[in-house]
Amino acid sequence: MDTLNTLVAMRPNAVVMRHAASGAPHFLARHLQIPIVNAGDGTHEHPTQGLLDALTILDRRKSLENLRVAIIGDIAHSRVARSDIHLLSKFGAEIVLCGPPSLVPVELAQLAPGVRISYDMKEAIRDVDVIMMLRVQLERQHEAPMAASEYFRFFGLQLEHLALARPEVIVMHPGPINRGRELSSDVADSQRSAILNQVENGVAVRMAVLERILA
Amino acid sequence: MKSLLVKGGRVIDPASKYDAIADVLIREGKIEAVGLGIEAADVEVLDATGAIVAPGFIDMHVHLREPGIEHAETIESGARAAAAGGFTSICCMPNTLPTNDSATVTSYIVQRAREVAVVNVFPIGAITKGSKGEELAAIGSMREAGIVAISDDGRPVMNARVMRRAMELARALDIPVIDHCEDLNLSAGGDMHEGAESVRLGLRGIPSASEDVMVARDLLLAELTGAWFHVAHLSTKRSMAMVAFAKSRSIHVTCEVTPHHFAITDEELSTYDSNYKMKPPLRCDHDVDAIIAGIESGVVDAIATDHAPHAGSEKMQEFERCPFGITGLETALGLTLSELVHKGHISVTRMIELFTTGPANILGLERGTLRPGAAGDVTVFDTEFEWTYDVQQSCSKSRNSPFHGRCFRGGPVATVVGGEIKWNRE
Repeated sequence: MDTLNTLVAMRPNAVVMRHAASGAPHFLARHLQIPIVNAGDGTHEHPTQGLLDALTILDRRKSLENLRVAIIGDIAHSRVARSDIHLLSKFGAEIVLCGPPSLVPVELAQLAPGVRISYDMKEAIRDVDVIMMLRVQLERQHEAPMAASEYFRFFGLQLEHLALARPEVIVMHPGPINRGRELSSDVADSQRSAILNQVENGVAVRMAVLERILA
Repeated sequence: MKSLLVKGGRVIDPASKYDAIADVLIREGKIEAVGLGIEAADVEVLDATGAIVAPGFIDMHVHLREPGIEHAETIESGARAAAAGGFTSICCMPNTLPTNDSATVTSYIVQRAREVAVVNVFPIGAITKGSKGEELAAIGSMREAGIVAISDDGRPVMNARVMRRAMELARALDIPVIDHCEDLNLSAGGDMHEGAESVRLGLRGIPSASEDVMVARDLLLAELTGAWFHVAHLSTKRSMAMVAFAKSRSIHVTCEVTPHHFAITDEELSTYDSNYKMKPPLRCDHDVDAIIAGIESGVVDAIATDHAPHAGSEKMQEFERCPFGITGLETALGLTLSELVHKGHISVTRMIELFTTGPANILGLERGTLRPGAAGDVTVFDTEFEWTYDVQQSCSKSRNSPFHGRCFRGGPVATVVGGEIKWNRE
């Protein structure tokens, strides 16, 4: 509350807020009259990441309609996953969520239409257009979902996996990547990887958001 | 002591199966007579025409925060909030500073209540020293000093062996063991009910199972020890089913539910408003349905508020950082009438039982009835008038209610304790 009053005293035109607590921008929005951009709140949402991921896909595909997308990793603690799911589902995407069971609770299937859950990586990425890998977020995990030594073996993306997906599959990751933990170096550096395009598009998308709310 | 004549109301006393338009005469702090056309000289008169006159309501689950946390509530302010909610008796939980785990603290509360409280206050003692779950508190001495039950509310006894010993002692002392049923390992870190909503909102979940496993454990221990086990603020479908089953097997168990657990669900949390954060958390539709069904069928013995005041500065922070608990004394009757009586789930008489004979029987209080000779505690309420709750006008020192601005149909009109009018709507 004191932080809020301090912010208001500076008379800003808008607030861009990244916060460790889910719902913190929503709390702020109830007490502030100016626009608030959610730049990632806890394990809830990261809307501009959703937008930049969509832009990155559009760089390589004609449209977002009816894509098949696999999101792999720690979905439960991922704000990126939630924003991507909400956005892509609106365009009719078929979305498979995959990861260790304690990081992919079954209730996630109710998040949006077209979402299903798989605990088998090879099944999850079969015939998909996009593979979104998520960072293993040790700072948000309060207990190990599975033995650390097993994680990469069962849920890490490796080059031979890409053959199971559609030929022009796009590999994405919100960064920063942990090489050898959620994906292998050769995947990260392959032609299929759009990870650096995502970073570049992030700048454009966030400029656009600021222009839209401040114009 | 003053005398009072409550005139012309519809007197409903479930304990004596009385339901008629009548007057209630209270002398020397006790009910003297109930009947039509009572005339009495030199008495104060309370006109209850058009209203319902019931035995004084009892809230068996309240946090008064004194001693030690007086910036959030005091015995004096909490008692005034109780009177404003139609309650004539309240039981205060032991999680104060220091914990009510000794006769000294119990005596302080009893003495302080006698001096400043407008309603009757019955302390509940801790099960273990400091409610740390390790070593039994001075339960026998606290019993002599005035406690009516034991509970480590909010910090449940995780060690089943300690709970067994507490139950054995409680049985010998003839007091119930009230447990806030929560497996702290399962619920650790959780902020709201675990389910589709917690996953959507990115808030950590408290699974129903964290309550259910403790209800199951305590039922087994109650069967083992023969103790009276009372489930505080029961909130899940499975716990309700287990209590119903245990009752059918003659295990000595009772349970209470709170108004917020039958009135609202976890869908309210989408605003991240910390006034919806409490333990147990607001559950989902099927749990609410099961609680209401349990109230209808008689499995539920009492309605209690779990009034848990917190200072504004504590509740005005990010959802995951603010403390658990909401106030409830002033909205309990309005919510119960609106959600249970007017929606046809229960009769007014059944509602009165849940606020009077239910808790009185559990705690062994000689209250909750209008029989001649009983305590002169009367709750006068109306089932029809419409009013809006304004938390800024609350008698409580805290403002953490999710029901600010809510419209109610029916509510308290006057609260009479020991023959004295302690609160009046006008």
